[in-house]
Amino acid sequence: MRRVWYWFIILALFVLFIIITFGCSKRKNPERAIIPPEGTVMTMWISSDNLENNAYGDPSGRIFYVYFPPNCGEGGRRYPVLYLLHGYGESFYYYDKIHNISKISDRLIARKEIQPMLIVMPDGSNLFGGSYYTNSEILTKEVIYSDFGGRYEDYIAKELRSFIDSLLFVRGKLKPSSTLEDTIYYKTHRAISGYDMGGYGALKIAMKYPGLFGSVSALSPYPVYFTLGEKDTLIDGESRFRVPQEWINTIFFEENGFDSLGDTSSYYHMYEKLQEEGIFKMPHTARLFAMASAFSPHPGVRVAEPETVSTFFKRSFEGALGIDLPMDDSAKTMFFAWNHLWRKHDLKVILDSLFEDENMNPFEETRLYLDCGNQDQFALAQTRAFHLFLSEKEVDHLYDEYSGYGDFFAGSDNFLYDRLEKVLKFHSEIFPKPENEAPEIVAIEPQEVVVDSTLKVEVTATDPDDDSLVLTAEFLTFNLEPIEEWPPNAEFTDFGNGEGLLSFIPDTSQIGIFRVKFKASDGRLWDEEVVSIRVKEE
Amino acid sequence: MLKIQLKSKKKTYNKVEKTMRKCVCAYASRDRRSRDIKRKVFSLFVFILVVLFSFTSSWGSGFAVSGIGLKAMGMGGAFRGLADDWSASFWNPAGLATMENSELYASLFIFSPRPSYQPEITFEGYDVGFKNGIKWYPDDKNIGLPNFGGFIKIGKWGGFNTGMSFFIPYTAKYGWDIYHPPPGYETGTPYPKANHQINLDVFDFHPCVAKELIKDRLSAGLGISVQFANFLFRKTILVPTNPQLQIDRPYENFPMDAKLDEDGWGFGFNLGLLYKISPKLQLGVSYRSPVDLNLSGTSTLDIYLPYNPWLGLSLDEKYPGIYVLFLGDLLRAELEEEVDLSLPGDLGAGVAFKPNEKITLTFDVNRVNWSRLEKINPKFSVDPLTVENDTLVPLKENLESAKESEILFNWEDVTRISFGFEYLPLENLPVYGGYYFDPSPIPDNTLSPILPDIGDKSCITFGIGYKFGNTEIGYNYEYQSYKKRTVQNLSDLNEDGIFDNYPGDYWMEAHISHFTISYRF
Repeated sequence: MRRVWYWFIILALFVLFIIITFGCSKRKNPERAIIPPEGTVMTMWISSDNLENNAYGDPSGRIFYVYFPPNCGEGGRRYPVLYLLHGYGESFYYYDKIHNISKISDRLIARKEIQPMLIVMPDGSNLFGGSYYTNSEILTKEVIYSDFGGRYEDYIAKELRSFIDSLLFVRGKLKPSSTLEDTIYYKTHRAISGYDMGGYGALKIAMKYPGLFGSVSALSPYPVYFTLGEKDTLIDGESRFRVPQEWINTIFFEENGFDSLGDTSSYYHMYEKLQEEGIFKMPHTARLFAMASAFSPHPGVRVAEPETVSTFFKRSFEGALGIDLPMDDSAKTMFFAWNHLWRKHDLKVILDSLFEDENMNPFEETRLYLDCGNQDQFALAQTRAFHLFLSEKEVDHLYDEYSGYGDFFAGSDNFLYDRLEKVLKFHSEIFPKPENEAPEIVAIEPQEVVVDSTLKVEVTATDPDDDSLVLTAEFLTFNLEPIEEWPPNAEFTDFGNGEGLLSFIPDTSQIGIFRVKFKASDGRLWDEEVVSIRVKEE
Repeated sequence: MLKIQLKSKKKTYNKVEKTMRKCVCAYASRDRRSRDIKRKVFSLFVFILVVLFSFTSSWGSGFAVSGIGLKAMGMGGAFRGLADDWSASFWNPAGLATMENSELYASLFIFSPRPSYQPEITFEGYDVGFKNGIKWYPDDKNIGLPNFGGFIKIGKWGGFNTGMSFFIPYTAKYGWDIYHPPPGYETGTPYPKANHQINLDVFDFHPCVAKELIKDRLSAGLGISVQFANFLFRKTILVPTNPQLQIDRPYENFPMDAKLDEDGWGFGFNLGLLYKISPKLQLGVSYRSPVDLNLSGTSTLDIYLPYNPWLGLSLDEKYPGIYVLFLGDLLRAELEEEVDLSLPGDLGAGVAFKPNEKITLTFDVNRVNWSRLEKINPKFSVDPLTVENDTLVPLKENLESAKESEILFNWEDVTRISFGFEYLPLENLPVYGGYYFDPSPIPDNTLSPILPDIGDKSCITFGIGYKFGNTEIGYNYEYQSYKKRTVQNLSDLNEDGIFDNYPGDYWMEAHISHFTISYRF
């Protein structure tokens, strides 16, 4: 009896031990890092008429990137387009190579947080580091030098947009026969955005072409309101504006270190210093020259030797070639350059004149988003003022002033990584949801059949919108050779309810491998499935 | 088998029966001797095996084990007032004064902790790579650990009982994968999966001496702790690249996989008094001294640099030479270092009440001064800034701060309350039960999943033993239920730019299954 107890207790304890032990199962963690399906960034090239023969010697053939979402173009799907303009000193690769826009987009598409969209990243750089997406032209009473530094605005809004519209899988194409209603409807499929100089370009193009873009966003746009702080003097009953004093202080005193104005200072010295220090240390000076190249090119001359910036700058500053700045070397405002050339490119001035002169709100049917870091060293004051101006004019817009953390302040392009995500979501919300979803064929396994016996392949397709589907089949190849005619011993029946049946009784001459394509279409979108059928001897 | 054969032939073969009886007696006697030898060999084998592979055990507050010994753990750790087996050397060494025999004890522990953690770590709302919003688990294991302890009486001099025991008072083993560089931050080398990890074992070699000061009334005991510790601690530290460099997100921090791996020794003692008020009532008081472990080993600091040569080149104009940081390299610094790990003291008192022969009731209260564990401050014997590597130059100031960095604990003292009982339905079949309440010493501002003692825990224990001869086998089960805890805000107590806690939601429960065998001789 004692032994029985002994074994019973040992056994009971052991069983308890095992139950507790194996009762605590191993829990499975979610996937460590979700790798979403990858879209493609294609490098494309366009030869632009608008940039041809520009005076700065910049190339007229321009590379640009286009991001295509995963599985782009399959089944006739079409996508909205976002034009993303880069900032000063950058180029077309800026968003993809430096900020991984394709990875950000892949991730958001996989999470269904944004609609799949094409993202076009054009090149808006010029000899001076940035074209400000402006038609660099001088219109005087005597001469029209309309192609002086290249017409970048036309290049983006007309030439490139037209090229992108010609791509197969773009929604919202404008055709010659398009009506005004079409245009208004289609523009919601198109959006434009940009950071820094790109933000300026996006706003400017959206203002000047209100029928083209359904939404526009500007990330820390600069210069969005560069006439902020200018002085207005009445001379002979006419307003004469002077360059903002703050700007002069920054450029002449802070960046160039001049003790006084009008003595030894000259643009040539400014250029020399810029060459030594680089654009990071003298950002305002660098931008001053670039803006001058866009807003006030020196009329009537061309750059004879554009090989080096140095040569060009020297000639330019000696007054012979290139650009005119809005102030002279004693910081005195150059009346013509500032009052007649520069001011008309200021977004606030443009908007004001549209409201006052034409009584038009260019953003009436365009959604607008602006943001700026709350310690942005360039754009904050202007963007705030522009936001207030928009509010004053009752322009519907979103304005976000974001902060950094700790010692990492939200200035310049910091946090663009996060703002791009926000901007993609903003535009995706405004893009119309696709009216029609593509059907889907249930996957079919490779088939095998023996000669003279019957093969039956069932095809089933579903449509998320419950559209009626048309199923078809097509024999593509036999032993890799294209098939011209439908085999007489095969028959495909579409039952009309999303199901179909292929019957095939191969003969001895058909031993080999066929490839058959099944297609399910709702009239506009479709899905395809290619299946191999192996015909064997007995 | 032999007996059955005898019985079946009993009636007809009396002569044979007599002869066989003699043989059987001889066999049985030989068998007993053989079994005694086997027991001793077995005990010795277990002793050697377990010393070689010693691990343990279950968690109390912080990273202390919840107890030692079948009976003590079965009674919820309410054992200071009773202290009548080998584990008294841990609970109250005074109990050894009245022990007649040595005792070896071996167990197989299956410890099944099941913590969960859902991170919510953002810097002012910005994602920095912690896998927020998803409930994560550590590498769940049912850790099968042989455990060994014992009290070996060396001799009796002048009324003193002396002995030696061995146990593991502190242990922690967790490995989490809760960090991955944020999307867009591509590394040349995959980021390690075990990026938050602790592996701590403290072994205590414990010579003891105890004496009955007043016969059958008052006993006192003293134990010396000679402790050896293995300590591996690993976490991801986000090395800020700003404000010196002002690099855009997601490169505003470079993730550093920091690993400390060291071992070392420490010394302490424990004291105890046991006073028998009456045959039914006994009081015990014990004190365990704090121990400072001096650990030395190597630190490996791996910075996983991002791969983005385009950004590197564009920044190079601003910060010449910086592009080398954007080639996806692994930047490694291996440093010799020393660390002091402060373990807490423990002051506790217990009472044992025996209303009759079959029932014993116990109650304990003890306070552990975890507040000694303020921080771990590695002292690097090789200055990381002397490493001749040009790529370190742009990170010089950041590495300077990493060198000064300390792992903050800032723990608080806790009081544990334990209840237990022993019931003997049969003389050789003790049944144990217990409950204890043990708060967490870890404040919100240093809580991390690396040591998931997340909060107040209520624990129930149940044990059963069976004695035959000098041997006792037993089984003990303990369930630890922790209160869910939510930590809201990031904290940087020492303002070194490295956060000290891990905000998010914490859950934890643990099952401890414990199969034991002890042998008295």
